[in-house]
Amino acid sequence: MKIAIGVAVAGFLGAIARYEIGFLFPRYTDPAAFPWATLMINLVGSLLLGLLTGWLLNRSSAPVWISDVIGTGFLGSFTTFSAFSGQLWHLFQSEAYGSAIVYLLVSGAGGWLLASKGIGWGRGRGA
Amino acid sequence: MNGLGLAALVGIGGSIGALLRYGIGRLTVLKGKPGYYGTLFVNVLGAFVIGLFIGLNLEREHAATYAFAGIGVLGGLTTYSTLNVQKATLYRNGSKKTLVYYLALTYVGGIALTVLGVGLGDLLHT
Repeated sequence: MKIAIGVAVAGFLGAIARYEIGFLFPRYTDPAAFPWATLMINLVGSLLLGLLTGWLLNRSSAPVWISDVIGTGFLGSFTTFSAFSGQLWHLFQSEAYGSAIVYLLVSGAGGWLLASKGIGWGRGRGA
Repeated sequence: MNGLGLAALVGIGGSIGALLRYGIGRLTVLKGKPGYYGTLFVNVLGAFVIGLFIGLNLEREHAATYAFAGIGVLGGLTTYSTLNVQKATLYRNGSKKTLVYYLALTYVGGIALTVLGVGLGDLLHT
């Protein structure tokens, strides 16, 4: 129960952080504008979750709330797949095919690479 | 509604979404299934519903509802960090076939469901 409350609070903070970071980037009303904010959020979140996952690999005695609250609660809520999928649709709809493909590749492959490096660095033996 | 009110709605929605995802994750483990089943489910579900919201033009016509349900609940329910960590873990652990299925279902399935959601939302939009 305590962990669930922690997940809820962390989910609250993760979503607000995502929302507020959106204001740091130029706000276009044009649906064809490249979604820089969500891309950065998803890349940074993937790296941080990788670091946390790697760090926890050799620490089986670490309390379970660390992974649940920070990983599942905060970083899970901070990053988003729904906005990503919606933005891809907007880019395709606006015929911004180049942007759509770059967005898909950088989020999907770049984020994967960062998560992988993060796991290695988190374990403390390089990636 | 002012900016602070909208941010609060996003946060409350985000905590609901995160709790739902956490609960679904716990249920997945309890049923003895690998964690990526839960992630796949929440991500494709969120992709479908965001499509509905786009088709319903929710962001422009009902900004507060969109902040709560779209940016908050769906943003909190879905996740990209766990997806990328699971991709890296599956790749390292050599379950290449599972990885290919996971990638195809997430991306092809997610995008297809967004398109389906937009179409359905468009039909329902009056």
